[in-house]
Amino acid sequence: MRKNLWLSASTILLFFVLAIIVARAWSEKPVPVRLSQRVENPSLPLPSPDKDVFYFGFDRRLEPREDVKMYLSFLRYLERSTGYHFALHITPKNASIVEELGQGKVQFAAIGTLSYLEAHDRYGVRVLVKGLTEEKKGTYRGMIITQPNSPLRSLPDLKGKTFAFGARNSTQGHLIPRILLFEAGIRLSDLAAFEYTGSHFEAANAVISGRYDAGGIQDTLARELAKKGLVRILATSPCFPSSTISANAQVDPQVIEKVRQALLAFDPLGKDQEGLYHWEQSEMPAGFTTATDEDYAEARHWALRLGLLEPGPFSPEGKSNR
Amino acid sequence: MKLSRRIILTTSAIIVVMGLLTIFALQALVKSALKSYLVSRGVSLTETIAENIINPYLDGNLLVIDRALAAVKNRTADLEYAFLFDPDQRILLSTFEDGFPPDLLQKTIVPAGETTQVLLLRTETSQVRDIGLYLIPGLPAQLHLGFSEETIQHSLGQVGMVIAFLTLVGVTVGSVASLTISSFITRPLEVLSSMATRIGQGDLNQEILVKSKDEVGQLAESFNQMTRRLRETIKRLQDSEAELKRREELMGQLLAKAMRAQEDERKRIARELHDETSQSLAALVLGLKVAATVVKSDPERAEKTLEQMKNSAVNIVKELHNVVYDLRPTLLDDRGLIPALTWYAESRLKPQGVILHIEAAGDPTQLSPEAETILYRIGQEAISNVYRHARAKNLWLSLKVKSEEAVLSIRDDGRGFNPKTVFSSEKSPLGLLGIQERASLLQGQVSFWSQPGHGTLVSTTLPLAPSIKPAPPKA
Repeated sequence: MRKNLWLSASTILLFFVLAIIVARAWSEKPVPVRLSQRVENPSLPLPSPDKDVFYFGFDRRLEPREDVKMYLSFLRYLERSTGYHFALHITPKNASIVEELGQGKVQFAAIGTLSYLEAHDRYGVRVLVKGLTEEKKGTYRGMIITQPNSPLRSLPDLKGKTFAFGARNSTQGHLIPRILLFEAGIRLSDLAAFEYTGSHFEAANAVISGRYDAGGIQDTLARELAKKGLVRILATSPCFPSSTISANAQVDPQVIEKVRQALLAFDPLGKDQEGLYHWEQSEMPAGFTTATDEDYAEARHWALRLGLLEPGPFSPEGKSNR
Repeated sequence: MKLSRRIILTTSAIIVVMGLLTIFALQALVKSALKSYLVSRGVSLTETIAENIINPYLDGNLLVIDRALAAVKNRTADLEYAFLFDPDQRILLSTFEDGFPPDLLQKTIVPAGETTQVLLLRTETSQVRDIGLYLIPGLPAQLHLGFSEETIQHSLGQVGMVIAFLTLVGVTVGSVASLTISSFITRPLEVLSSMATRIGQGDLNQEILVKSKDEVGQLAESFNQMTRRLRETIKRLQDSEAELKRREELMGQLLAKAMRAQEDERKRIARELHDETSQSLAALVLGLKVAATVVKSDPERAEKTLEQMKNSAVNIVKELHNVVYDLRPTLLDDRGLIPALTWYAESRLKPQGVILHIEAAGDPTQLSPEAETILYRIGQEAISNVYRHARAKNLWLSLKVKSEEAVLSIRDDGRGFNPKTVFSSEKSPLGLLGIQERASLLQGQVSFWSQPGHGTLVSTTLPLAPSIKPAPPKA
């Protein structure tokens, strides 16, 4: 009897010891860290730059977060299709994507017409493709919007009113609205006030919030907001060639050609849809089509006329003058 | 060890073991649940803050981010730190004052290929769970929030204390309960044990008072039944022993009587032979001598003497015949039971003037020699009793032989007796008991009926195919 008692007690004790050992084994092992030690500006060694990485920049269109997520998902497609490594570059607010692309800080960029014109004329940046809209066209429009209950009924009513443009280098957010206003007889000086908000998103916000009476934004965003009843479309522009994917002039032509082919093969509505982040909000929702500099002749003409573009060494006028 | 103590120890051991197991299990469960909750909450909070600071970060609005991190640290009690790590491999912003711990930078960076990382850190004062994630997967900027695990430890400590306290309460309550329960079990067992001891010492007269109808009550009742049966068995054994003793005594007395009777018979025969027969023989011898002496001198006297001797010799023969008949009448062997009994009754009772009424039915040849002998001796004894005590005027003797039994009845109209008085007296009625004993030799039964002033009836029934066991006597 006593023997059984000892056996039972030993078994129970052994069980507890095993349980403790197992529990300790299964429990997490914390990493020791000394928080009390402090240094100023600690850093890790910078990894050696990846020479095979191509940096991709973009014109800001929506809010930065959405732009970044959208283009990051697009770059994954490019990597898969070309085999090259791509990294997204975010142009700081105080910098210019035109300069970064022109100077080779980024090798490829999704830029609008105005940015392309400037980049091409100043730095010889090459257009690879232009975006296809939802209607599968290589053109887009700009729209001028106002509040739904605004008394403004036509563009001439904007005289003496406040206006919100998108980014200064935005085609749909600046150039096209300027063209519409110009054709309606309104100069910048006729406006009570105007601002370059930096993106279609901010321009739309400025109008919706009532800070500005009207604003110029991309057609897709304008239609979406109008559908929701947040804005009323005051004017719609004619078609202009859509935004581009352009490349720095120094990029290897073979690379350029491979990237172009990948872009032309891009099918965001079909086989390449998976993995994309809200690509329908971009200016190339249906993919890309071929583009040449000649496609942008009229836009260049207006940009020069409105003083939004200065002739450069690579502009057609400049070339012809050389 | 006493049963009650064993029960208490076992119950307490079980409660302690279960309590410890519960502590372990609950602590593990609570820890796991709390950890899951805190990690999930931490990740959710980090993701929310990351969403909120992406735009300022992309716009370079570091002040907005700085304010956001400070606000979240102030509002989240268990948040130890927050920092933003940028692509230039440096700390862009953090909530640490007076520098930044280099250890933290080196050990918590989310590796490439993963979007989120949850790490448990052990600092100098406590454990901290670092949750790090990329602001946007694909961009190298990372946000890290460090949540103190003190909540978990505190909660676990509380849970452990509560369970330990409950275990202690459980042990106490369990011990009291098991003491109470064990007393319900052990007290009756003690009573049963002491009863068993008393029974072992021979005291079978006490019974346990059964108060309950449960298993213990049933055990007590079984014990009582066992005691009663033991008592009855012992009483039966004692009665059987007494009966056996009595029968042995009787047997002894019968044997003594038989031996005395045998001796008396021998004495009687010796006396008769001596007093009468030998005297007669001596006279005969003398007479013959005289006759021999005077046969020549006085032939007439010799003839007379011889004639007298002849008559003497005839009487001697008759005397010898009577002696032999008294021992065992040849009538019994030659002619059977009824003639033998008739002869005996006539020889004894006729001189008293008793009128005999003899009746026989059935085939007496069915009786075995042993049955005949026993019935003869019974009849002889009964007739002797009538001769000695009854002062009867009539005697009725009846023998009925049926297919399975023989019944011998002897009734007189004498003065009778009280059977209770006679059989319970100190002087055992050996003659009557001898009748019973004789009948029992062939599994027969004897019944006596007598009433003072109303005669006596002795009825003997003998089975004609007796069984082995002797039948009990019947009065």
